[in-house]
Order: sequence, then C-alpha cells, then structure tokens
Amino acid sequence: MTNSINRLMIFALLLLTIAVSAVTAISIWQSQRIKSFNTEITRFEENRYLMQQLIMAVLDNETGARGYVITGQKSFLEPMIVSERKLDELRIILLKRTATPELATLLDDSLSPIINLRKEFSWQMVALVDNGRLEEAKKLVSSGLGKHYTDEARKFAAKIDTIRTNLLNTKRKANETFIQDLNRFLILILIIILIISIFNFRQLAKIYKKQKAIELHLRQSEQLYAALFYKSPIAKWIVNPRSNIIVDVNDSFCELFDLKRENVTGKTNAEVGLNSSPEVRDEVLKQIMEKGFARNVEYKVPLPNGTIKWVSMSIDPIKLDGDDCFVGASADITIRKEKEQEIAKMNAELEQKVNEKTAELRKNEQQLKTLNDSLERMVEHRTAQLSAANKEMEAFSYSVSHDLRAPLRGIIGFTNIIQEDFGDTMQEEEKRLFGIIKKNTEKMGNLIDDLLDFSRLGRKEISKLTVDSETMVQEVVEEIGRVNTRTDAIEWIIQPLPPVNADISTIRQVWVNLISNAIKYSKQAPKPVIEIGSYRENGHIVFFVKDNGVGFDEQYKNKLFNVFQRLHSENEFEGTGIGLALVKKIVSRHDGKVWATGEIDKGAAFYFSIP
Amino acid sequence: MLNKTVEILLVEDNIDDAELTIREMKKHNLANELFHVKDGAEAVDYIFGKGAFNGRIIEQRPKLILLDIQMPKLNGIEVLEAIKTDERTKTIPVVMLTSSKEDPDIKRCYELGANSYIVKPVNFEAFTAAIKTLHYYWLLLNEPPVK
Repeated sequence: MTNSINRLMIFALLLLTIAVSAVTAISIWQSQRIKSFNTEITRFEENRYLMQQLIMAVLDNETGARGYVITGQKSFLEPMIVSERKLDELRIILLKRTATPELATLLDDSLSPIINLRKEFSWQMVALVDNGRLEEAKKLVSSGLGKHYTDEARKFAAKIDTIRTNLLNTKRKANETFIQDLNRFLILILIIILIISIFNFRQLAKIYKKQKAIELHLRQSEQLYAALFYKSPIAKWIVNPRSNIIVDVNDSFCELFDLKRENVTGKTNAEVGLNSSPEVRDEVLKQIMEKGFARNVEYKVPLPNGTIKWVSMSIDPIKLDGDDCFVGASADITIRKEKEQEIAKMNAELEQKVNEKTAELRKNEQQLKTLNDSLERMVEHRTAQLSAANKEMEAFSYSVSHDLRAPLRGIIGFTNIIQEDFGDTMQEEEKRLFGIIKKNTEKMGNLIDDLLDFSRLGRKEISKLTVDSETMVQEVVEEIGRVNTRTDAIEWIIQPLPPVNADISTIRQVWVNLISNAIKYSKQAPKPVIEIGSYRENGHIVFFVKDNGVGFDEQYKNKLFNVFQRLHSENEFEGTGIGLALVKKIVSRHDGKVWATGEIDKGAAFYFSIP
Repeated sequence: MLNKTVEILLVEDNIDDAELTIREMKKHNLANELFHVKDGAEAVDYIFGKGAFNGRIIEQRPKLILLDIQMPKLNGIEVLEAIKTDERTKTIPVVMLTSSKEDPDIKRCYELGANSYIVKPVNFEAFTAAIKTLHYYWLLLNEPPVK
C-alpha cells in the first residue's frame, strides 16, 4: 500500500512542480505583455504629442504668415520658417514611427499634402507681402483658404488621433481579456496546486502517524522481549560466539549459577568458571551444523562454589544489533538426574533380585519337568501295557469263539446226519437223548456267537453320524416283524423320535435288542402293547421302550445288564443274557446311560440316554 | 478226471464241514459236479491247472467257487486274489463261505472282487438253508458269465 501512495505522492509532486512552473511562466508572460502594452501607450502618447506639435507647427505657420501679413514685421516670419522646418522634421519622424499602413497612408496621402498646401499658401502670402501686394495678401487671408488648410490638417490629425486611439483601445481590450483568461487559468492552477498540496500533506501526515505507530510497536516489542528474557524462569544468556564474551544474562541464570550479573557480562565462559567439556561443545556444534540450533544437551556443571548441577541446554542463533549471537537456555535438571540415578540403582538392585529369583524358579521348573517327563513315560508305559493287554484279551476271546464254532458246527451237523440217516431205526429215548445233545450244542453256539459279538464290539471303532431314530425304529420293527410273526398282534405306540448323534450299526443293535426283548417278554400278554418314545433331560436325549409284558423284580435291576445274567429261566424265555449287556456296552461307548424299571406281570421299561 | 465238468469248487480245510456241505449238496443232486480241495494251494493248482492238476484246461471254469478263509498254506483271501486278478479266471463267481465275521476280512474280500460273503451258521437248520439258498441262487437263478 505504501508503494502506491509513494508513487502517487511523487506523481503529485511532479504535477505540483509543473503547475508551479506553469504559473511562473504565465506570470512572466503576463508581465511581458503588460510591459509591451505600456510601451504601446507611451508610444501612443508620444505620437499624440508629436501630432500635436505638428498641428501647433501648422498653426504657427498660419499665425506667422498672418502676422506678417498683418504687421509686416519680419519677426513673424521666424516662427513661420521655424514651423516649416519643424513640419518637415515631424513629418519624417511621424512617418518613421507609424507602423500601421492605414495611418501611414493617411499621413502620406492626406495630411502631408495639406500641410504642403498650407506651407505654400503661407509662402504665397509672404511672397505677396514681400512684393508689396498687401491688399491681395489680406484678401487671401480673409478668403479663409489658409484657415481651411489648417482646419483640414486639424481634421486629418484628429482622424489620425482617433484611429490611433481606437487601435490602442482595441489593444487594451484584447490585453484585458487575455489577462482575464490568464488570471482565470492561473486561479485554476492555483486551486489544483492547493488540492495537490493538501493531498500531499495528508499523505505525509499518514506516513508520519504510521511511522509513529511502528516506532511505538517496536518499542513495545523490545520491552516484551526484554521482559521475556530477563524474567524467564529458565536460565538464559546471550553470547557472542566470535569473541566468546557473554553479552547478557537473566535473573534465573544468576540464581542457577550463583553469580552476579555484573561479574558475568562482558566476560568469557572460562573467566566466569562455567566452561563445558569438549564433548558437550562438540555435541552443540554438531547439532547447530545439522539443524541450525541445539536442543536438550545435558551435562554436568561444577559451580564455582563447589556444588554440582545438571543442566539441559538449548541454543538458538539470534541477531543482536546486526551481530550473529547465540541465545542459550539452561534448565536445571539436577533433581531429575539425581532421581534418575536413584532409580537406576534401585533398578539394578531389583534386576539382581529378579535374576536370583528367576534362577531359582528355573531350577524348580527343571525339576518339575524332569518329574513330569518320568511321570509321562510311566503313564505311556502303563497305557501301552493296558492297551496290549486289552488287545490280547480281545484277540483271545475272538479266536476262542471263532475256533469253537467250527467243532460245534461239526457236532450239530453230524448229530443231524445221525438223526436223518438212522432216525427210522432209533428208539424214542435215543431220539430224545440226541435231541438234548443238539439243544445244548445249539445253545453253546448261541453263547459263542453272543460272546463273539460282545468282544467284537469292544474292538470296533464307533463313528458318529446324525441318525434318524424314527426311521431306524420303524425299520427294526418291520424287520423283526418279518422274522417273528407274533409282532402282528402287538399294538405299537411309536412316538416321534428326534435324531441323535450316534454310530449307526451299534445304535441299531441297541434298538434291535431292546425291541426284540420287549416282544419276547410280552408274548404272554393278552393285548401286548409296546410303547417307544423319548424325552430330553440334562442335555441328553432319553429313549425308552416300554412293554406290558412279564416285567421283572426291581430288586434285581442292577443285575439286568450283566453279561450272561438273566432274571428268568431258559424254559420261560429263551436267550443267553447278553442282549442287555451289549446294549449297556454300546450306550456306554456313546457316553450315555442305561437303566430300567419294571414290575412283575405289569411290564418293564428300558431307558437309554445319548448326549 | 481232470476234464470232468465241475459245477462247484469247494475250498474247505475242515473235513467235517466239507462233509456236511457235500451232504447237503447231494440232496440237491450236485455231488457229482462238486469238487473239493483241502487248502488254498490245492485250490490254486486246480484252478490254474498246475501241480497235481497239471494239464487241466483253465478255460473249463467251475460255475461257482465256495471259498473258506481260514486255511493252511494259502488262505482264502490269497486264493481270492489269485482268482480275481487273472483274466482267465476272474469272471468265476466266488462265494466266501467262512466262519469269520470280521469286518476287515469282509471288506478285503469285496475289495478283491468276491461276489458274496456268507458266514457259516452254527445252527444246522440255518446251515442247510444257507446251502439251499446258495444252490438256488448261484446255480439256478444267476446267469453265469459267458463261457
């Protein structure tokens, strides 16, 4: 903004200069014009005077001539001759001084001839008188011709005078208008000059005000910064790096280092006793070269009075009165350092303790681990032993059952052959005895088969799938029905059964065993009813098969599920007593439970749960 | 004797079991067309015309082979493998007639291509019924492979 104002001011000043010059020029011109006009007037007046002289000369001529005529005295001729001479002189002078052609013409063509005529007339008169012709001369005088000539001369002179006067007046009027215009113009310029001057003065006033404001601001800034420096709670100092002289320090500095300001300013660090180690100086220099300033350089300061302080120093470059200086700030971190050292010491102690404890722990760990390892090995060993024992057992029972079957088959087969081939020749008793043999052998076969199944189940892996219980039960019932025609007479109540997560073939076996049991033990009932259903309990699905058959004595219910254990005799109900044991084993492998309730002759209910 | 037509080859090491089976077969008039070998090695020799049966024409294949598993020398599974891997004999229907109800055995037999697997029942009635069914099914109902 100042730039354009400056330019404006310069432009205004320029205009001002031009205006003033113009005014001066015009004034000079004006005075010139006035001067020349005055010359004109003087000229005019002179010409008029000369003209008057001329006319007076004419009059003198006339008077002289007349006087001579009248008086005849020669003394009157003298003015006439003088006037003649004067007339000639004046005529020449006047002609010379007349610039205007119109006037010159008048002078030359009109006035001069008349004057000549007058002159001649006068000489005529004189001549007459000289010749004694006085009466003729007097007649000439009274004729008035001479007077006429004089009067004409006067007229022409007057005309010339009028013309001259008009000319002068015209000139005067022209001058006056000119001067008036000029004056108006001058006034205009003067007004412009005034305006420009006012403008300039206002600008100057503004600049001056601004200047004053800047100065005030500057003074305030200086005061502020001075205050900041001197009153800062952090020790500050200004040093001239070239001379290493401390330029100034603040109060906190004096406090921190226990020094008086007058003892410090103007001296070097060394003189004051505050020199820092070469490492610190190098660090500071390095930072300044890298970044242009130094930050948080920590170092120890041994004070002149013997105490040791830790400071954190930062240094920045500043310009002071045109010189490159450094302003430094040092925060007293003695307390922090002391605390740090304390903490470090405590940490070291702690670490040592921790290490000791860790070593102890590790030793204990090792011991535990060794114990664990030996335990594990023992367990593995035992498990392997158990596993091997199990396998042996199973292989044993398998091969036993397997190998027992073949001879059994032989016994039964050949007993039959005997019966077939020799039946005709046998007695009743013989037939009966063979019958017993066959019956027992068959029973043995069944026992072996059951034992085989039981043992096989122990070795088999179960794989669990989602089994549709309802469909399975329906199938089982149908299948048993195909074999056992008695199922037609039974009333079946089969509730909707939920699906379970179980091994298909073994769960099937469970159903088969339970349902065939229910059928078997209901055969005596007049209206056998078998109910199959389920309910939920404790996250398990419990299935049940209820019949209204012969039931059992509840006091023996714990024996129900034992291998080969029966609560009825072979005569009453056939069977080996393995069916329920099988059910129990299968359900146990599914992590479920079996149990039963019963009442003699009322019926029994068998439950198994599957999680 | 070598080139007698044989309907059924019975491979069974237990003489008593063999006698029972043959007796039942007799009832169905098959005894003449039944040949019995006593172990796996004899079975293979017979089928492939080797050893004691050198000269027998392999292409004269039996209609049915009843094969036990538990046998000395070669067991039934090995015999089965031999039969089912030979182009000339693999089409012969083989019924495993055995005491073993072991799942691995059953699985292996089917894998090798056994046509059927029957466990010999102890109960005599069941046994005879099984034989009868075998006869009806494999010799009467079933279409034999093309000769």
